[in-house]
Amino acid sequence: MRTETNQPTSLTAPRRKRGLLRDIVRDKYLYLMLLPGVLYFIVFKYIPMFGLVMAFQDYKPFLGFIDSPWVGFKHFERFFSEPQFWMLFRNTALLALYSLVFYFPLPILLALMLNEVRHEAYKRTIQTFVYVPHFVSWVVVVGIFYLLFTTEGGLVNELIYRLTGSKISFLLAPEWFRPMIIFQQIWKEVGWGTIIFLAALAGVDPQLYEAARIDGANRWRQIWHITLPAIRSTIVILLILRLGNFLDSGFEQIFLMLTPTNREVGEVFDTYVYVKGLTQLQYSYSAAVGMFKSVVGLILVVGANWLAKRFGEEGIY
Amino acid sequence: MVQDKTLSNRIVDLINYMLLLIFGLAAVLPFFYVIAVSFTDPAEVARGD
Repeated sequence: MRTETNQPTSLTAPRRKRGLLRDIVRDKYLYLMLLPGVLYFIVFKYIPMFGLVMAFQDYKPFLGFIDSPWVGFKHFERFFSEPQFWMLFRNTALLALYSLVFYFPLPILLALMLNEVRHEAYKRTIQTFVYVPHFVSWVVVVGIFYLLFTTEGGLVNELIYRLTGSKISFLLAPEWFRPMIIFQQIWKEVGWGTIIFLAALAGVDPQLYEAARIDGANRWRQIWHITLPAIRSTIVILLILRLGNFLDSGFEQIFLMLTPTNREVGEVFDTYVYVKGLTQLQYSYSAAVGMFKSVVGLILVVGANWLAKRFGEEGIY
Repeated sequence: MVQDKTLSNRIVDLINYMLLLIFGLAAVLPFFYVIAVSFTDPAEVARGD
């Protein structure tokens, strides 16, 4: 992101006025390495953005973008006046909020715990163990949870039955839907989430800890005054980026966990887009719903970034 | 990082190691459970053995 770091000359010599072209010629290999990334974003992120015009049209596949009639904000008006809108909004926002409160701090906690371990072999073994679930797809995760939590012979429910004499229908009861979704997210992604924090912690100068110890800081003081400040900017950046996908609930997981009994709490914008767009072929309407999600995400990112900068942190741009 | 070998530090270490062990096992044991169930007779699993 910071191109200055690639130009050591500009730090020592006074900055000469030079054209962009000269920069490119001089750093041609750096720009060559940048090219695949830029191409990726143009082809897969920027060009598809033009498809958003269908949110303002009555898009018909055989008429195409050019000839489909323009309808302005009709689809947005319909979406906001839909009786389902507030249910969808509540479900999506609550899931996002729970995920932010219960999932987001856990990788930090786990990274701090791993950082305290002094036996390298033990640390590496635990790290390998907690990374494993990340590499399993959601279908398999939901399958494993089904096997463990089902009321018909599931391990967890068998234990509960022997202890209390009753069973809990974790997978069907509406009140268990959100806890299960968050629990699955935690189980699958917490270990993977520690990587970025452990990388930030690897760069902390051990002299800081030695100095703190000589000053009489116990291990909690060391964590509070050295380890946490070392990962503070990482936490802030991850938080801002997380807010960008605030209304993305992760379609796959929700869709797999939906049952007719928990639809009231489980239906979110992502599943709504799927039902309207792909099964009922209302392309324009579902594009409008998707665009609403993205706009909310954009507002949250810009707002959070502004706030972070107000508090003296480094934002994402 | 270097720590004093005081009693309280050792206890904190021990708790930390235990918790990490629980987390690690919680991450991998479901996979072993699935594998074990796949190779077991369904009737036996249903009985809860």
